[in-house]
Amino acid sequence: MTNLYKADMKRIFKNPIFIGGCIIALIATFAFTSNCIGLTGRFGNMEPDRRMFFISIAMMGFFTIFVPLYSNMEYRYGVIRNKITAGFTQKQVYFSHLLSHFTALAVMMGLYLVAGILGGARDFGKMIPSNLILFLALCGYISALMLITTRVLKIVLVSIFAFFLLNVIYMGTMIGNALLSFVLKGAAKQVGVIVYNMSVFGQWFSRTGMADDYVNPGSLAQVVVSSAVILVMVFLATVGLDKRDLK
Amino acid sequence: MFRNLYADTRNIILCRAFRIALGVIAVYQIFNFIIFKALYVFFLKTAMDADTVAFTFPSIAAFLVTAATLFISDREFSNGCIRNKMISGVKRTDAFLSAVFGGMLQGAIYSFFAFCISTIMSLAFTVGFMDYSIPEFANYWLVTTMACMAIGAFSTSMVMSFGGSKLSYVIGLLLAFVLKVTDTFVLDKLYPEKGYCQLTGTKLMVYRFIDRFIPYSYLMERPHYDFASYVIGCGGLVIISTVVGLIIFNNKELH
Repeated sequence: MTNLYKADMKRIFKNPIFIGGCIIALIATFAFTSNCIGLTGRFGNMEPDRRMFFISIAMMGFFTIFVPLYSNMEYRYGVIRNKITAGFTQKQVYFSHLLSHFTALAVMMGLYLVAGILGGARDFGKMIPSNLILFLALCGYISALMLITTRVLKIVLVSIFAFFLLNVIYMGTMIGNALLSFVLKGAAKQVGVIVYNMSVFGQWFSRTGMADDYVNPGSLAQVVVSSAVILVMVFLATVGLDKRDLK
Repeated sequence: MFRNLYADTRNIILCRAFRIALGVIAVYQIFNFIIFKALYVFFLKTAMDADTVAFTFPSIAAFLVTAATLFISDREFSNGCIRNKMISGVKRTDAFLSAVFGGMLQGAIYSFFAFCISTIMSLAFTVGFMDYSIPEFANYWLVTTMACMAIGAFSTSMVMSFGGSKLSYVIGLLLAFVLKVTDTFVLDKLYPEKGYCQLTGTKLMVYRFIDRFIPYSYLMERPHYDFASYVIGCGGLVIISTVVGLIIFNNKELH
């Protein structure tokens, strides 16, 4: 398992998509936070810390592309069969990929934080908890993408489902805003807030300052919801995985 | 040319993914109808007008057309069909144009199918249109169909141009998503809910160009430009994607 993880990390750090993503994260975060690109209006009036947090959602888009393309390689070129022949189980392969994606996310977030601080973000009291919560929410999103990648083996279908998930989360958050504002009341609203915060986009939106205050149930609740999403996704991805036939 | 076109068209019609896409359109529209009906019955307590449920398809059209054309066109490369065609004497240009036509055909069929379901639901289960006349309703669907055809052509052209590489799996879907988010932002700036549009100069021209000539944005809002603008936007995307795609496809190495 440790060897698999090390091998995955070695491949990720050599992957041109990941390297490109890290460079873009660094440049885009710095440009957006420091406002060296001359943003006006809503973004121009924001403080650097808020601008920095605003751009963080681009990582969601990056991992929508990276996770399916990278992890599906296992099935496209028969890599997984070699690993199984070498004595590893399918669960070990899954967990090595999941952990390596979490590590890749941590690396990218590290670069994003460095670029943000260099760009002028200074409110560490807000920045650290917000980004830790976002990290956990993104881990939940990556777990969902890994579920798709593990269960659907055809690359074209994996890409379609990954972008379908992205679209559903985006549309769901937009519809959620309307439902929470105008339709849901009382206990239904509480349930709605939890559902809203199950997606990384919802959690991100609740912390950008553009959403109403009540869509943010608090840091602890967001951490619990993200952890629950990770656990459920890992369970769905691994249940009966070792008994699956590979072609 | 026409033999290949016939074979490709037949292949699309008989493909399971094509039927699944039609099923998704039907389920999505019916699901939306049920949700809205429940909202009107339990919360708003008024009769439902047709405007609410008639145009739900455009919200998924870009993604659906892109995904369906990607899945169906990708088989040319994953199953080695394109190499067999070349061996059988089909010219690259003919194979490409046939694929692009197939993409446009899919866009047209999906849109027409959605139109049929929408019309049945609007006539049978609502009190009729409040803000739309029949010509406006027809014009909306005509523009939607044209936009779907243009997106189908563009998506297929992307798959044929980048086919065989990883890029082909994500680029069309990514563009559809990015343009959807961009259009939401552009529409919010051009037609703000409160006050008036505060854009000026180049920014205003760029935003208006996106709103007027990019077919993805036609699916975000009811038609509000003259019909010629929509024809230019859709025709432009089809011509550009076909010409650029042909240049790339004719020069690429097929694996």
